This record gives sequence, C-alpha cells and structure tokens, in this order.
Amino acid sequence: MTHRDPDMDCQDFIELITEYLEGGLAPDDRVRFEEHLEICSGCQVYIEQIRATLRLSGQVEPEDVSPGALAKLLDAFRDWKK
Amino acid sequence: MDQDSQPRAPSETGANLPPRPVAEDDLVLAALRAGSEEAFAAFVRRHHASLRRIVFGYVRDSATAEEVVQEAWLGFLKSLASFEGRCALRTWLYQIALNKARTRFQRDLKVLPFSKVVSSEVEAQEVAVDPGRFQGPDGPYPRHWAAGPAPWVKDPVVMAEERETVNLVREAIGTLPPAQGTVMRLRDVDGLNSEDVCNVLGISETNQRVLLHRARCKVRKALADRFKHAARES
Repeated sequence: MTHRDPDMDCQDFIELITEYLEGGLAPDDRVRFEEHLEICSGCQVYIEQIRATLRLSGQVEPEDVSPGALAKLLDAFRDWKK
Repeated sequence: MDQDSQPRAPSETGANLPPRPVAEDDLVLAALRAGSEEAFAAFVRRHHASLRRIVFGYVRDSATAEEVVQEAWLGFLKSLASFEGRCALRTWLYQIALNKARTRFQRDLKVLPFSKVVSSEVEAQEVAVDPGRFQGPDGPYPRHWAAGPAPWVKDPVVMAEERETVNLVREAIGTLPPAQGTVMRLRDVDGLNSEDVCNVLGISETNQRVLLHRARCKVRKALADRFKHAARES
C-alpha cells in the first residue's frame, strides 16, 4: 500500500481534538479526522494522552470544606427541615 | 475506528470519562427532600470547594467567596422545594452561586467581569503544541509531527490510582488561566455537560470549547513534562 498523504495535517488534527470528542465536527471533517487518526501514530499517542488526562481529571477529589463552614450549613439544613 | 455511522453517546464523546452521572443527582435530590443530613453533607463536600473557586473568579477575595457560597447554599435550600428538575441539581446549584457572585460583583466593580476574562483568553493567539514540534514548509510532510509525542511510561489506569498523578492534574488545573480553569473544572472534575457550563457561565458553545481545548491541552502537557522526566530518570 502506498502512503497516501491525508487531507488533514497533524497541526489541524490537534486543534480539532476537543471538537471531535465533543461530537461537534461536521460529518466530512469527522471522516478526515478519523482517517488521519488511522495512519498517524503521533496523533494516536496525543489523543490517547488527552483521553487519559480527562480520566485523571475525573479522579480529582473535591477539596476539604472547613469544619466551621460545614457545621454552619448543617445547621441551616436542620432549620430547613423543620 | 469503525463507528462512523454510529451516533455518539455523551459518554463516548466524553472520552470515556468516569461516571459522574446526572442520575446521581436525582438520588441526592430525593435524599435531601427526605431530610437526609448525610446526603446534604456529602453534597456540600462534593461541591463547596469548586463553587468557592468559581465564585473567587468573580470576587477575587477568599473571604467574600466563602460568604457568597454560603449564601448560595442557603438560597439552594430555600428554593429546593420548588426545584423542577429541568437541569441537573448540581447545575442549578452552580447557577444560584453564579447569580450571587454576579450580584456581588456588580456591587464591587473593581474586579474584571468574567466575560472580559473569557474574551481575553479566547482572543489570545494560542496553539496547543509548540509549532517547532512539527515539520516546516520544507519538510517532506509540512505541518505533520517532526517527532511525535513520547508515549507515557505508565498505564493511565494505574496512573489514575496514584494520588501523586491525580494531585499533579489538580495542580495543573489550578495554574490554568481563570476562564480555562473554570471551564475544565466544571466539565472534567465536576461533571457538568457543555450546555450546563455555557448556561452557568453565560458563555457561547464555541468559547466554551476553545477554553476547554486550551485547558485540556495544557494539563496534558503538564503530565507529559512530568512523565518525560520520570522516563529520563529511570
């Protein structure tokens, strides 16, 4: 199989990743995007790392709430329940 | 990639995000209405710090931010009975907090409005990857990688179990420009969808996407820089 120069280049691919993941690419662009992805190992690595970044972000735990603030809110909740 | 003809479910386009489902909020709502203190405490723990950060983006003062968020929770409780479930409970909570932050902001016009922060970040010329990493016009494949990104040494699933890696992500999100950090936090940490984020922040879908893209690419780079070092050291 001869190398076919894809329509989309890597720089464009990178800038379209979020739009692709958001499902926002027009059908034609999505096909070009996926064709590029098929043949480009660098972009395969890059998009996988973006996906990993999202998974890791989902693991970020909320920061602690100060006990004072929480106690005040729980008081408000008890009042609200009444 | 054989899914060309398949419509994409949100979970798929969301790059297999861990479930932070909106369904979870329905359970929370039922528990709150049933008067569960544990459910309320858990909901506060889950969202309080994020709310404070977001409000801080407007008021730029920690004590004021804390005060505004406390007010938001009180407003949330007060109107809980009338909540009709047209959006996720958390989205509604964030909207209340943002409204309070905007009101406070109007009282104190020293700070920059969020819309200005958004437009300055969106209008800045910025690319996700240093153009020097790509081939120039004289290369065999201009605008394609000169040398692609190095694969990370660790499996992402293993990485996600390591507190250090997750802390690194948290720190990287913390150093993002304010609008980018706010959008990424709401989307990828707090689990709001894009429509909700646009509503909560009052920004367009396009701007939301630009901010999210820049944010995610910067956080990826922070991880790549770290894992490059790790690979070199070992």
